[in-house]
Amino acid sequence: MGNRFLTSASAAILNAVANGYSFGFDIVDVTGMPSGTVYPALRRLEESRYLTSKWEKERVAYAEARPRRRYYEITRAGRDVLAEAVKRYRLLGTSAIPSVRDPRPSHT
Amino acid sequence: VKLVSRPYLLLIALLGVIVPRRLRADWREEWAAELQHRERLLADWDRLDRAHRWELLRRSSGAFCDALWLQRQRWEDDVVQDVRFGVRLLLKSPVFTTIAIVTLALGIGINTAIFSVVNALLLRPLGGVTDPERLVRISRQYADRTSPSDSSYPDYLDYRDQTSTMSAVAFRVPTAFHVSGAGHSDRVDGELISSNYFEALGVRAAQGRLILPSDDRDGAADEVAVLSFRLWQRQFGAQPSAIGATIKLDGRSFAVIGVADERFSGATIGTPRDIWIPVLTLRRTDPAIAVRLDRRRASWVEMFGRLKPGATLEQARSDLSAIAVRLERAFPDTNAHARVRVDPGLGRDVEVEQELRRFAYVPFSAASLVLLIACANVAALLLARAASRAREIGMRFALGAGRIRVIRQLLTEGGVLALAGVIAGLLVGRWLTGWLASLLPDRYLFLTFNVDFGLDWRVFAFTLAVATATGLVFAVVPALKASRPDLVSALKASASPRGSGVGHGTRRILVITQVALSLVLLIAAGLCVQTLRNAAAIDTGYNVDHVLTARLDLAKQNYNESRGRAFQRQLIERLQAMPGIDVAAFAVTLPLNDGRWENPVRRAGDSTRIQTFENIVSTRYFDVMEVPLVVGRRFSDIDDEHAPHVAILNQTLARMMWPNQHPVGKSLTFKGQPVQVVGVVRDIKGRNLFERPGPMLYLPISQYYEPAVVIHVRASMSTPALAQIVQREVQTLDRDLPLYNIKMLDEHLRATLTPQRLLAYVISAFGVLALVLATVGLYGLVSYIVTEHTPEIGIRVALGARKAQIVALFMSQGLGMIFLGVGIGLAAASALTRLMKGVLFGVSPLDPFTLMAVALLLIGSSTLACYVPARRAARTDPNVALQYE
Repeated sequence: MGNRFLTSASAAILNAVANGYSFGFDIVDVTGMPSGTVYPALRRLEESRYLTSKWEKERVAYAEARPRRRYYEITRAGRDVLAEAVKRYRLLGTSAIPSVRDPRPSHT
Repeated sequence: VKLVSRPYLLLIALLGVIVPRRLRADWREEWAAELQHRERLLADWDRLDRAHRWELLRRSSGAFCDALWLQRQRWEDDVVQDVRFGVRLLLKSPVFTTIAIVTLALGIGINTAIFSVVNALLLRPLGGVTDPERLVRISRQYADRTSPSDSSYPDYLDYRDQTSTMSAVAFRVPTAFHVSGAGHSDRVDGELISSNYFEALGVRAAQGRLILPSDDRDGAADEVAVLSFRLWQRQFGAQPSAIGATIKLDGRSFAVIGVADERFSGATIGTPRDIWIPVLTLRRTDPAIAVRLDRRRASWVEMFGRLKPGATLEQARSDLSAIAVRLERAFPDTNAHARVRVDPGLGRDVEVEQELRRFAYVPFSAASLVLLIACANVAALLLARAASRAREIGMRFALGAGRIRVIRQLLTEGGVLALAGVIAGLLVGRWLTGWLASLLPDRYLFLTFNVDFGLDWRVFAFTLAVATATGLVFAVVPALKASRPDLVSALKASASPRGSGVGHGTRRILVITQVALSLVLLIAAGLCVQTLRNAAAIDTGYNVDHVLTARLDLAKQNYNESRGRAFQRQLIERLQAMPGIDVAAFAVTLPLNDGRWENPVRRAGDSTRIQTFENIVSTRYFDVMEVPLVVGRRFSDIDDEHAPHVAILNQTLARMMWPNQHPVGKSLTFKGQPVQVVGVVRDIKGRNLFERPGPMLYLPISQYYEPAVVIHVRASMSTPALAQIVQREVQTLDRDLPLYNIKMLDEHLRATLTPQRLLAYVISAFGVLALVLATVGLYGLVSYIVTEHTPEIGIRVALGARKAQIVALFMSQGLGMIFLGVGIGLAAASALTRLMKGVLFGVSPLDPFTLMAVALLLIGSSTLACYVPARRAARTDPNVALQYE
């Protein structure tokens, strides 16, 4: 929790969540990182309280005929640490992560 | 069906097994979503080519990484499980748990409290200053004296300007002020300071600003004052408007410029100061004292300094010594033989420190013994428990539990127990610290015990470590034993009635140790109680009962000598006239718990100087104190300022001056003046109750005026009523004059017995506690032996054994341990109590009465502790006992 240092991978993932990419494979796709990296990183970030996660309602997933999704959301502490990381990894701020309007796009 | 058609789902279903159960469902669902999404992006499984299928499976290996990452949580889950199980087990045997926790709590609490109090008095650095460990005391050391002296102002300036190792050299002059408020004055301790005092200490201002070097102008300073946070709250209700307000000190106005940091209360630990004014204001306010500022011979400023970053104490010593040598050469009349002394630890009083160190090791050692006993007790309890759990542990191994896993479980239990003990120990420690602090008088020697007795965390950490180690080590012993298990015998509940207990021998040793250690403590307690009793029975030579004492200082209230004399005369007359007051008098010092006045006297026409203590008293002083006259007369009204100077000696001084001669009528020289001896009074105990009275010279206050005096009033009424009368009479004469240190004479006597009383109370409390612990330990062990032998007892009873025989059988087991323990204890005590010689009074460390009484007490109570379970054994019903078989 106290550790304010983010690896560049974690920073990129946090950045993706901050930009509205809010569940597993969405984040994998937008960052281009392997899922074996992304998921443990998400858990670590959650453990550090930079992210929180919530499972979507069974009903929603059922209506869309797909497995339930676990939505991640950035916390205030997450934003702070991200702002610091952006200063360090300057590419992060400029790299084009398309911001998502609707944070929970429906994939059809 | 789905699993088969989607092999990656099968893969994560399998992989999921290694994910901690708590997280497994979520993990599977998340990865299923991930992989289905991949599949959908690529197409449908059936329509995928080989490369894409391979790609999808490879992707599921990410799930494997993730599952591995989550392994850490499995460990944590196990710990949670262990803790839960441990707590449940402990709750299942509340007696065991309570005894263990209380024992640990006492051991931890007592040590924490004792060390906290002593550390607060001895080791705590100054509060509210920056880097207190860099601050050093700087004093003059004359070659022919043992204790250091204060310095002069010109010397201070030289040290300040010439030092190369100190970032600042500053000083203070402790002094008291009369602070006048609306209609009354208070006496408040303060310091006259060099203008760089606050800078050197690194104190911050809570309000306004502190005194700065820029406050000095042309060798003088403005009348400005800095208040302590306490005084600011008390006098100004913590209003910010206090800054810029005027405060009257000794009748003169000072502007309040700031309030010091809340944690700062001057440069003496234990004696809080509340007002600081720049010493150079004396030039304006008190020219008589200000002349000292220019005198190199004057010895009145207490210098201190701050080491420069990187500078060591040794470097500072050689740097300042070089300055001292230069001063010695430049000013041979005043600075000859004056070396400089640099000591670490600003704020502590050397004398008080020595006195405390003389006594402190006794409670330290006693507290350590209590901790040892507590640990032995807990260890014995854990071993007893382990014995009863051998079966359960055997069962676990039989069911395939890993050795590590079982040990971890037991360690967790020990840890839970230790943690509970620690929390309770903190509470006990906090409470005990309060109790110890309440035993302290508000003043002892030069120390007022106004210290923050917070718990000392270093000590707490240490006792915590010891207690936890005990808990863990003895918790794990059974696991180690059981992990080389003879499963078969362990599982057979009562396979062997004798010796199946784990650590049976160890328990005996632990109980014997406890008995021995508590005997040592009880003997120490007995010796301390005897010491206190003997000390309290010392004949002081005067009657301490029913005498109220109170101080007043007319100099601080700007009385000149003639007004002061008039005031003193009137006050005595008024007090004497009060119904209920027998007699009233003044003296400049109290016989005990006070400073001493010392001066040399000579026989007339003889140059031999005899160093003597002195007290300046009013006519009826010896009546108030009930000090009998041996020969000659007391002072009377004829000994006024115009009459020839007279003196009264005590027996010791009379013997020293004129051995084998009649002293009355003889003449002596005091401060260059001839004085005639008119009487001799009995010796009384001076400052030290434990030493023989020293020489004492009494002079009449009518001939040796002193403005600062102690009123002594003998009256047979209640203290509050008497105090009220004295206070009222003083206020009738001067409503602004503060009366302070209002106390009965016997309170002063009690204060001087502080170390003896503390030891008696504390060590006795520890001794009783040790006795209880040892008794409980013994009781527990014998009870256990009884339980273990229930079937055997059943057989014996069935075969016709009488009750007395059964009782004797088990008593013999207990008594063996008791006598062994007492024997070892007596041997240990005879070695250890010898170390207490320095703190004992009137009792030998091997006092046979104490040894006997304590040994009998211990034997009695521990015999009872054995008898109760033995008696229970004797009542065993053979039918019930044998059903177990």
